[in-house]
Amino acid sequence: MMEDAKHLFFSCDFFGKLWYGISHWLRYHIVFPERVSDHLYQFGILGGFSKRNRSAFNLIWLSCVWVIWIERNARVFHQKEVSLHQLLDKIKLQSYWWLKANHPNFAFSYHLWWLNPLPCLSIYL
Amino acid sequence: MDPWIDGMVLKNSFSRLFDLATNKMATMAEMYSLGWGEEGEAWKWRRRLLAWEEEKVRECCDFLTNIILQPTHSDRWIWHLHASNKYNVTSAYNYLLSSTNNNLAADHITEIWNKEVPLKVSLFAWRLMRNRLPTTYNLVKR
Repeated sequence: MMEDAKHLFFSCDFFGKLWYGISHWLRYHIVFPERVSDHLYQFGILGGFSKRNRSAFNLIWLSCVWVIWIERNARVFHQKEVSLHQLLDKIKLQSYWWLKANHPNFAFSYHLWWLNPLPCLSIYL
Repeated sequence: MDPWIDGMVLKNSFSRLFDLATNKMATMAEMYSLGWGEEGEAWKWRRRLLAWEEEKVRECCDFLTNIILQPTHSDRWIWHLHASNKYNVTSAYNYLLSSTNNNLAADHITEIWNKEVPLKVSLFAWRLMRNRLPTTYNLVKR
């Protein structure tokens, strides 16, 4: 299978699993669509109808694709790789910092975010 | 605000009248029961109408004269994509397939421009959306 964007980000045996790790973390069980824009859309609406929460879900999605790309480049160009769990942690930490940097009143600890992000987001519901 | 007549939203077709009405939240059923003829009780204005506005009222009344609401019938959903007006999976499936070109998610691509993520990440996502990342496949194609 030649690496194209759809394969690399969503259906690849390794990175594909990352989305299931993420949806498990977010307490959702969904079937992801294949097209890139549909994928983002489907992921975003998991945040519900509140604009604020949708934006947070989009942020997590952006963090995922970014982490995948960085990891892919590390593998291709530096022959370095990390485990799925480490990638999950990277996404959790990155999204945490992005949210915290933009919301001074986002007062939850990283530990809480790491365990279950929904209560941390529900302040906006 | 639903389109009531010929796919029109009355509020938009008669925006001047809507501006002047004092009972903007009235439902069609309420308006109907009050009477929406030219001298009907349904029309409540916040000032006297100008001549051209009264003309508009007549125009609006003309639209409404042929509409008779049936209080004994309750509202129901209509599925426009099938002749039976009832939902079926095939028609929804065909609709989704036919609309892949002007796809549902197209409007949502703007959501990559999230102010809370670094700009380089949004730019990267934009390249991803347009399939312009240097993946092996794209490199071979060049």
